[in-house]
Amino acid sequence: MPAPYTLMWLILLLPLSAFALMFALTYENKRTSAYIGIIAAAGADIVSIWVLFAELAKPQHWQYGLGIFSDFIQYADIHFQLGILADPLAAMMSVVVCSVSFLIQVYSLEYMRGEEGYVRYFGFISLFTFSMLLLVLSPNYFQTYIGWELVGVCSYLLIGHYFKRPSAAAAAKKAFIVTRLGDFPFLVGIGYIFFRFHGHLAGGAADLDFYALKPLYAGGLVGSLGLFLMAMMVFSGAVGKSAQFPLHVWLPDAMEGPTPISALIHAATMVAAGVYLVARTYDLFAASHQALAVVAAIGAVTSLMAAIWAVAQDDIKRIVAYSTLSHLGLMMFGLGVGAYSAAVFHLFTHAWFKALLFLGAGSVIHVLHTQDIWEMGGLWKRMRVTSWTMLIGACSAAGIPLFAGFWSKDGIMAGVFASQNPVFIVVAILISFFSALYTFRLFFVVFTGEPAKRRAFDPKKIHESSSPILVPLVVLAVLALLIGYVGLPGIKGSFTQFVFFGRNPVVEDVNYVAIGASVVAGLLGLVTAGLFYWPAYARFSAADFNRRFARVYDWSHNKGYFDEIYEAMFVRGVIVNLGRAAQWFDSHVIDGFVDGVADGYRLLGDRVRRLQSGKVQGYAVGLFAALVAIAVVALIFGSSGPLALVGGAAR
Amino acid sequence: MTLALTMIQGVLALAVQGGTGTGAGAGTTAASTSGNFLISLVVWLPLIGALVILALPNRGESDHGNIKNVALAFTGAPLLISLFATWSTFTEMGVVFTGGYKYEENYNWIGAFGAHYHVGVDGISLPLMLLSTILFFVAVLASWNLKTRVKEYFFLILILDIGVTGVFTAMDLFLFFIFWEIELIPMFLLIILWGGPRRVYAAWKFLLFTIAASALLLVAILVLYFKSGAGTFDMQTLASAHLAPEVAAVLFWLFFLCFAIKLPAFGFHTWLPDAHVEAPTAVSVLLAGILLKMGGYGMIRICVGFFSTPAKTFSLAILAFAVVGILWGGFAALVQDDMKRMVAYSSVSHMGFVLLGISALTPLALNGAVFQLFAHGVITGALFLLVGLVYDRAHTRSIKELGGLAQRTPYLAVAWVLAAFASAGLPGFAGFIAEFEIFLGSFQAHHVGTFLAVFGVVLSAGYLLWMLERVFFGPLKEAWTRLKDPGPLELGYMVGMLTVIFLLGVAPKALAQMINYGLAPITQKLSGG
Repeated sequence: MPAPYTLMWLILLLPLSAFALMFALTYENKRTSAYIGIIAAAGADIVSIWVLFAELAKPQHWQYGLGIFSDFIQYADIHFQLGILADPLAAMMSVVVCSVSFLIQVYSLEYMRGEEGYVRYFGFISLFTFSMLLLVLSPNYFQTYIGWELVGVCSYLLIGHYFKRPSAAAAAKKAFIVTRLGDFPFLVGIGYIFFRFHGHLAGGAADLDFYALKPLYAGGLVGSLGLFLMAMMVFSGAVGKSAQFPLHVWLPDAMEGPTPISALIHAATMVAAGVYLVARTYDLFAASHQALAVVAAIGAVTSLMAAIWAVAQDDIKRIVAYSTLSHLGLMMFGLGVGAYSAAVFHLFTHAWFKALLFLGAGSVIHVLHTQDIWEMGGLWKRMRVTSWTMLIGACSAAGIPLFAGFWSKDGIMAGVFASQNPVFIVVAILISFFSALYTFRLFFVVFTGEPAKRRAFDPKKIHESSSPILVPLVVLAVLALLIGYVGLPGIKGSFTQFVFFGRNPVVEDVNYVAIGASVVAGLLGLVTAGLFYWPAYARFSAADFNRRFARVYDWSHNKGYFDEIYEAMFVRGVIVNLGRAAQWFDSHVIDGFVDGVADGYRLLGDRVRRLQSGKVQGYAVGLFAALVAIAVVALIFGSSGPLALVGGAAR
Repeated sequence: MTLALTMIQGVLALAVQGGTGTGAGAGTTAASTSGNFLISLVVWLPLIGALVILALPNRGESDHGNIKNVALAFTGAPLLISLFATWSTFTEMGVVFTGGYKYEENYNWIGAFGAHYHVGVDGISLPLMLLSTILFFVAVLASWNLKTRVKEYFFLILILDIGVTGVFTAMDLFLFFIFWEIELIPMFLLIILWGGPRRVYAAWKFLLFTIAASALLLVAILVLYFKSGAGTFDMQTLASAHLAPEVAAVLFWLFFLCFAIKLPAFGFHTWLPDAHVEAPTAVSVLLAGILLKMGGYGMIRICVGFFSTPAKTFSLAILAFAVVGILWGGFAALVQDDMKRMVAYSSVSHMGFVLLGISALTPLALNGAVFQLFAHGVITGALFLLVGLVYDRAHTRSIKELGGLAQRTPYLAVAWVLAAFASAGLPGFAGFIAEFEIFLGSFQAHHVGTFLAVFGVVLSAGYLLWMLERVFFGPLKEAWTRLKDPGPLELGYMVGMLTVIFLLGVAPKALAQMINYGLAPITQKLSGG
C-alpha cells in the first residue's frame, strides 16, 4: 500500500483526539481548545488532500481494518469490522469534510467569541468531524451505520447549542427523531442485506462490506421485488439524513443552531451523507429500475417544493436552508435519472458554495444581529467583502454560467433531459427558475438599496466583519468561482472521469439543449427577482403580488403546512393517543384483572374460613367427596390423563 | 469507607487462594472441581456480611456507618472476585469454555432425590454474575445516605444478593429454584418498608405476580424431574433429556410463563411500573438491572436450552409477545409524567428486544439477547440512579414540574444525556451492539416482525429526548434555582457505570465471544434439531 493510504487512520484519529483533549484537559482554556480543533482539522485535511492527489494520479481502491477495531465483533462466522476505505468517492468527500470543518472553525474563532459554551462548541465540531469521516471512509454498512448515528448525535448536540432557548431544544430533538424515522428502515435494510448475502461474500471479506457486495446485488440471489425493497430501505435512511420529502421538516428548524454549524453540518457535509450513501451503494440502486425511479421522483418533489417555499421565507438562514433542501433534492434527482457523476459533482461544488452562502449570511447576522431580511438592505457599500463573496455564492447556487454550480448542475440537467420524461424535464426547468429567483431575491433584498429602518439601530454602525470571518469567505468564494472547472464536460481527465459509476469512465456529451433551457430559466429567475426586489430596477411590488395570490403565498410561506399536518396527525393524533391507550389498557384491563383476582382470593378466603367450622363430620364429608372425585377422574382418563403428567414416573 | 477497604483486602486474599485451584486446572476445563470455591465465595460472602450486620449494634450515626461499610465490603469483595474470574477467563477463553463451564463445584446435597450443590459459570452466566456484583456494589453506594432502618435494609440487600447470584450460577435445577425463591421475600420487604406512598399496593402486586411465577416454576421443575426419568436435577443432563413432544411443549410454556412474568413480557408487565415507582432508588436499580435479567436468563438457559424443538415451534407466538411488548412499552413511556415510570416502561420495551432475540433463535440474535441482558442491566441501572439523583434534589419526578435543570446541575445533565443516548441504542454505548446483533439476527428469522420491532428505536429516541428537553433544557424554572450538582460519591458511581457502558460499546468483542462460547451448546442443539 503506497504512502498516503497507510496514513489515512490519522484522518480519523486527529479530530477524535482533539475532541478528547478539549473535554479532558483544555476545557477551561478557550483559545487553546479552539486551536487544537483547527490544527487537528488542518492535519486531517492535509492527509486527505494527499490521498486525493494520489487518487487523481491513479484512481484506485484500498481498504484495511483499523488496528484493534478491525475485529470489532467477531465470533463463529460473524465478522463486523471497522476500517478505512479509499477510493475516488471517499477521497473527494473526505477533503470536503476536512476542509469545510477547518474553515468553519477558523470562522468560529471570531463568530463565537464571547458565546457561552465556546469549548463545548469546538469539541463537538471535532467530534462531528470524526464521525462524519468515519462514515465517509467506511468500508461497510456496519461502520456506515455507526457514523450515521454519531453524526446524528453531533447534529443534535450542536443544534441544541443554545439549549436554554426552548426553540433550540425542540429543534434538536425534532431533527434527531425525524431522521431516526428514516434510520429505522435503514437498519432493517442492513439486516436484509446481511440476511441475503452473508455467506456469499468473497473469502476474507467482513460482513456487509461494500466492495464485496458490489457484484452480489445483481447476481440473482435476490428477486426484483427484494432488490427494490432493499434499495428502498437503504434510501429511507438517506431520505431522513438528507431531509428529503416527506422527512424534510427537520432541516429548516435545525437553523436554531449557530450559523457556522448550519454551514458545516446542515449544508456541506452531514445532510449530503444521504446522497453519499446512495452514491456509495449505487450498485444496489442500479440493480432496480423502480428504485431509481423512486429516488428521482422523491428528489424532484423535494427540490421543487423547497425552491418554491424558499421564495416566501423572510429569515435569511431559512432561505439558505430551503436552498440546501432544493439542491439536495436535485442531487437525488440526478442520481435517480442515472447522472451519477454529475450528482456527485454537484455534491462536491454544492459543499463549497452553500458553506459560503451560510457563512456570508452569518457575517451579516453577526453585524446586524437580526435574521430577518427585511431588516437588512443596503449592505453592498458597507460590507464589501461579504457582498462580493455572497454575490459569487449566489451566482454559483443559481447556476449562472461559468460559476461552479453551473457545471455540476448542467450535468444533472443533461441527465434529466436524457431520461426523456417530460414531467421530469418540466420540473427541472422550474427548479432552475425558482432557485435563481429565491437566491437573488435574498441577494437584492439584503445587499441593494438602502438599510431598512429599525428601532434602536443605527445604520452607520454597519461595518465589515473582521478577518477570521472574511478569510474563510474569500477562500470559499474562490472555490465557488473556480472549482467547477475540474469537471468541464466532455474532457478527458475531468471529474466525470475521476468519480464514475461502472467499469469505464464515460465521456458524456454536452447537451446544449439542456444547458440552454436551464440557463434561460435561471436568467429569467434572476430578472424576475430584480424586477421585484432590486429597488433601483423594481417594476412590481412583491407585497401586491403576495396579496393577490394570498393562497399560494400562504402555502409557500408556511412550508406547505407540513409541520402542522404532521403535528396534528402523527404527534398529537396517533402517537400520544396510542400511548394513552396503552396506559389505559394497563391500568384498567390488565390491572383490573389482576386486582380482580386479588379481590377474588380475598373473597374466597373469607368463604373458606367459614368452612373451618371445627365440626369433624363436616371434614369427613369433604374428605370422602374428594376421594370419590379422584377415583372418578382416574377411571375416566386412565393412566394417560392429566394425572399422569405429574404421577407418570411413579408408575 | 476505609474500613470497607481493609475488609475487602482480607477477603481477596481468600479469593485468590480459591482461584488458584482453578488457575492450574483451567486447561483441563470443567471436570476439576477440587480446591475451587470461587463461585461459592461470590454467592455466600453476602450471607456472612448479612450475619455480621445482624450482630452489629444499630443505635446512632456511627453504627449506621459501620453497617454500611460492612455491606460495602461484602458486595465489593464479590465484585472483585467476579472481575478476577472474568479477567482470568479472557486470556484463554477458547480453552476455558470449550468444555462448557468453569469454576465448577459439585457436591452431593440431598441424595434422596439426587439434588446437588452444583455451581459454575459459562459464557452466559459469567457476564450476568459480573453484572449482579457490579450493581449490588453500586446499590450499596447509592443507599449511602439512608437513615431509616439501616440495619434491616442492608441485611435484606445482602440476602437478595445471594438469591440473584445463585440463580445465575446454579447448575442444579433444585438449587436454581431455591435461589429463585430466596430473592422474592427480601425484594417484597424492601419495597413495602422503604417504598413510596403506594408501596403496599405495589409490593403486594409484585408478590402476587412473582409467586404465580414461582408456582409455575415449581410445577415445571417437578414435571421435568419426573418425566425425564433421570432422577437428577442436573441442568446439563436435563438439557439433553428425551421427552415426549407434547410434554416438552407443556414444559416449555410452563417455564416460559414463569420467566415471562419476571422479564416481564407484555401482558405480565403491569407489576413493573408500580414496583419501580414505589421502590427506593437502589432497589429499582437492582430490580430492573438484575431481577428482570433472571427472566431472560431463564428463557435462554431453560426454555431455549432445554426445549429447542418447542422453542422453534412457538417462535411466532414469542415474536408476538416481543413486538407488542416493544411497541407497547415505547408508546406507554411516551406519555408518562413520572420519570421513573417512563424508565420502567422503557424497560418493558427494551426487554422486548431480548424476547425478540430469543424468538429468532439464530446465533447472532441469541448473542444479542444475552448482550442486551448485560447492556440493559447497566444502562437502566444508570437511568434509575439518575432518576434518584434528580428526585433527591428536586423531591419530584414529574417531568412537567421540572425544567431547565441543565443550568443548575450541568454534571447531572451530562450524565443524563449520555445515559439517554446509551438507552436509545446509539453507537459508542453497549446498547447499540446488543440491538444491532438482535435486529440483524432476528431479521434472518422474521422479516415483518423485525421491521415492526425496530420501530421501537424511534420510540426510545422519542421518549428519552423529549424527556431531556422538558427536564433539562429550556429556561430554568423558578423553583429549581437552588439545586446542587451531585457530589463526588454520586459522580463516582455514575462515572463508573457510564465507563462500563462505554467500554462495552467500543470494545464489545470479548463479551460477544464469551457469550458465543456459552451459547455454543444451545445453538448446536438448535441447528442439529
